[in-house]
Amino acid sequence: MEIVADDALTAWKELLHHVVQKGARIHYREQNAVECLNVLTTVKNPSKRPEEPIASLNSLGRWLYPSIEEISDCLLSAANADYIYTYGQRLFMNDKTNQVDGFIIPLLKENSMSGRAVVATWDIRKDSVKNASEVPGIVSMDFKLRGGALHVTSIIRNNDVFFGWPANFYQTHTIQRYVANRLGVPVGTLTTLSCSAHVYEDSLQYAKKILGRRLRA
Amino acid sequence: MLLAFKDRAEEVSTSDIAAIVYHEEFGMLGKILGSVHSPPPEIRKAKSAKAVLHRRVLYHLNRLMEHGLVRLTRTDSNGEKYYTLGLNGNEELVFEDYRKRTLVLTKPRVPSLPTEAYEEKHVLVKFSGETWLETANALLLDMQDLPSMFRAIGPLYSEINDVIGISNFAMHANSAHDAAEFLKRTGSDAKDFGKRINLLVDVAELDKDGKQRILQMLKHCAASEQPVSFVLEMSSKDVQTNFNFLQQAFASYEGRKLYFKNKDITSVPYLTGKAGPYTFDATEMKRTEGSPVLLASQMTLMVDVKKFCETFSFSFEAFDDLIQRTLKSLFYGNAMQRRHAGVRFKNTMALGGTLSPFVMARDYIRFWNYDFLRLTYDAKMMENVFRLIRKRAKEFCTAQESIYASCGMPARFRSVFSMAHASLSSDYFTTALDRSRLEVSALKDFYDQGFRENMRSKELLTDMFDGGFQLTVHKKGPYNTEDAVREVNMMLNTYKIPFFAYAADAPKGTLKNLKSFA
Repeated sequence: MEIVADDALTAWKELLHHVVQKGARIHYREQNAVECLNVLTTVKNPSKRPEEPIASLNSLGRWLYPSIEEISDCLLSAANADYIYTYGQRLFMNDKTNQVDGFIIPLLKENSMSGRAVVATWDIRKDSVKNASEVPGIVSMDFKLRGGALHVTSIIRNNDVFFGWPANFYQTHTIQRYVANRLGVPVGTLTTLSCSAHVYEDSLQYAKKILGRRLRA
Repeated sequence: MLLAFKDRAEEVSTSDIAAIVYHEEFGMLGKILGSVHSPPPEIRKAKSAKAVLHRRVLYHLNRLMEHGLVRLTRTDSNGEKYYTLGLNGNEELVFEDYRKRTLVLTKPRVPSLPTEAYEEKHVLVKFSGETWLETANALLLDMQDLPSMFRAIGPLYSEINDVIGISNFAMHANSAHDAAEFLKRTGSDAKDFGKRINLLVDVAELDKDGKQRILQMLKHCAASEQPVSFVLEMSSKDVQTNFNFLQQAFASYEGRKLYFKNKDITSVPYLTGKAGPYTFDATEMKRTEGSPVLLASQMTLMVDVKKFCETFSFSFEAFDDLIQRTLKSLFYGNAMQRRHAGVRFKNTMALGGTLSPFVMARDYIRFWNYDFLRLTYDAKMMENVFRLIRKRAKEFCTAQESIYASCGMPARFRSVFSMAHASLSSDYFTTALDRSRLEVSALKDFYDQGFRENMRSKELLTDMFDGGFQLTVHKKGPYNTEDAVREVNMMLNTYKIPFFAYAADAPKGTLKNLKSFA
C-alpha cells in the first residue's frame, strides 16, 4: 500500500485511516492490534509543519508525549542520557563510528548520485539477540540526492503508527535536514516503510478521535 | 509577538498572542462582544474583525515557525492553536531593532508543572524543594574495598539529596581494619553535607572480628550523633544464633533506633532516609547482582492527605486527579533528569558498571497523614482508595513507557507509593495525626488485641506502599537488652513487616494526664 501526502499531518491521518480500516487483527505483545504489512508513506513536503502530528497527539491531553526538544536531543546528541538506546547514539557514536558526519555526508559530497548512502540503526551485536530488551524500530535510513534535493527513506521494522509514527517521522526529518544543510541542498521527500504498521486496540478510540469526520465518512 | 511569551514557561494560545499584539483592538472588540446590549449586526462585525486579527497573527506565527522561533505544541478541540518558544533550555536569542532596543529571549529551563495549584495550597510538596530536579534521593553502593568507597562517596553528596546506603557492609566489617575509621570520616562528611548514611549489615555474614567492629561503630555513633543508621538484615534463625551479639548491639547503641530488615520476607535492600523508607523491586533486583551503584529513588513528591481533604473535601475523582497530576509532574522531572544525567549525575554514572545506575530507580509519591482517610471514614475505604489509585498509577507508568518505546526512546518510568517520614512534619506538612505509638512494655503486649489489630493495619499498609513502609516499635518502661532481642524476634516471627525499627526512646514532649473534665 502506498500513501502520498503533501504534509506530515495529512500523511499520518491517511496512514492511520488505512490501518484502522484495512488492518488484520493480530495479538502482539500481550495486546490486540490491527496490522497492515509493508505500508509506504511518502510526504512530499516534510518541512511543512513536521511537528503537527505530535501536536495532535498532545491535544488529546491524555499522555505525556516526548517533547520536540527531547526528541531532537536524543537524535542529535550521541550521549545516552540513560535511555536503553537512542537513535543519536546509533547514528553518531555506534562503536565510535559516526555514520552521518563520517560516512553519508562525505560520500554524497564526493558522489551526489551514490546509491550507498545508507545508515543502520540496527546493531546486530546488541539487537540480533533473542532476549534483547528494547531494540530500534527504525532499522535503517537511505539518502538519495535527486533533482538537487535530498530524499530520505526510513525503514521501520515494527511501527505503532498511532504513537510511534509521529516521532519517527520527526526524527527522520531532523536527520534529513541535518544532512541537507551540510550538503547545501534543499530537503526533498520523506518516505517511511512500515514493515508492520499497527494500531493497538487501546489506542483505537483515540485514533478515531484524531481521524474524526474522515472516519465517519 | 515574541513578547507574548515573556515570563511564560508554558504554551501560549493564538488568542492570548492576538490579545497582546492587538490589545487596543481586542479591548474594543471585547467590550462589544461582552455586552448584552450590543446589537446583533455589531456583534457579527466584531466577531469578523476578531477573526481577521487572528488570521493576521497566524500568518506571522507561521513565519516565526518557519524560522524555528516558535513551535506549535497542540491544537485544542475548538481548533485553537498553542505555541511555545522554539528554544532549548539554554538557548538565547538577541534582537536589535532600528530603535537600538535589545530584545533577549530565553526559555525557562523548567516548564510549569501540572501540580502547581496543589503546591500553592501546600497539598503537594517537592522533597528537597527547588533542587528536586538537580539531585536524586537515594543510592545504594556495593564496592569491594572501603578506600575506593570513601573516595567514591565524597562527590556523590552533590548528586544525592537524602541517603547513601552501603550494601554488604558485613564483608567490610569482617576484613577491613579501617572500617571504624571509614565510618568516622564518612559520618562526619555526611553530617557536614546534611546527608544520611545507611550501613546494611547481614548479621549471618558477620564473623567474630566483624561483630567486634560493628559494636565499636555502634558505640561511636551513639556517642557522636552521626547521621548513620544501621540496618541489620536478619531472619528469625539469625536472632537465635546471634543472640549475644544482638544484646551487645542494643547495649552499645544505648537504646537508639536500630533498623531491621526481615530476610524471611524480603531479599531486597531497604534504606531509611529523611523522606522515609526506600527499597527496590524484588523481581528487578535479581538482574542487577554485582552492580556497584544503584539509584533507589530519583525524585519524590509528597502529598498531605489531610490538607487535601480539608482544602478540597475528599472525593475519589479529585484525589485520583491529584495523583495523576503528580505522576505527570514526576514524569516531566524524570525526563529532565534523564536528559541531563551525563552532567547532573556524572559522578554517579562514572561508578556504574555494565548496568546504568538508573536501571532500578523509581520515583516516589509519599503520603503524609495517610491515616486521615481511615480515621475520617474507615480502614476499608482507605484500603480501597489506595489500591485503586496505585493500579491507575501503574497503568499510567506502563502507558508512558510504551509511548516512549514506540518513539524509539525507550526509558524507564516507575512510580511507587510510600509514607512520608515524621521528621518532615515541621518542614512541610499539617500536624501529624494523633495516632498512638506502637509501644511494647513486655512480650505479652504482642498478644494484646489492640496491638494485633494495629499490626494488621500496618501489614496492610506494607502491602499498599510498594515503595517501602517502615514502623517503629517503641520500648515502654524499663529497658533491658535481652527483652529487646526477644521482642525483635517476635516481630520477625509473627508479623509480615519487612522493615521496622526498634527504639527504647521515651515519648517526645511532656506526658500530660487528663485529671478532670471541664
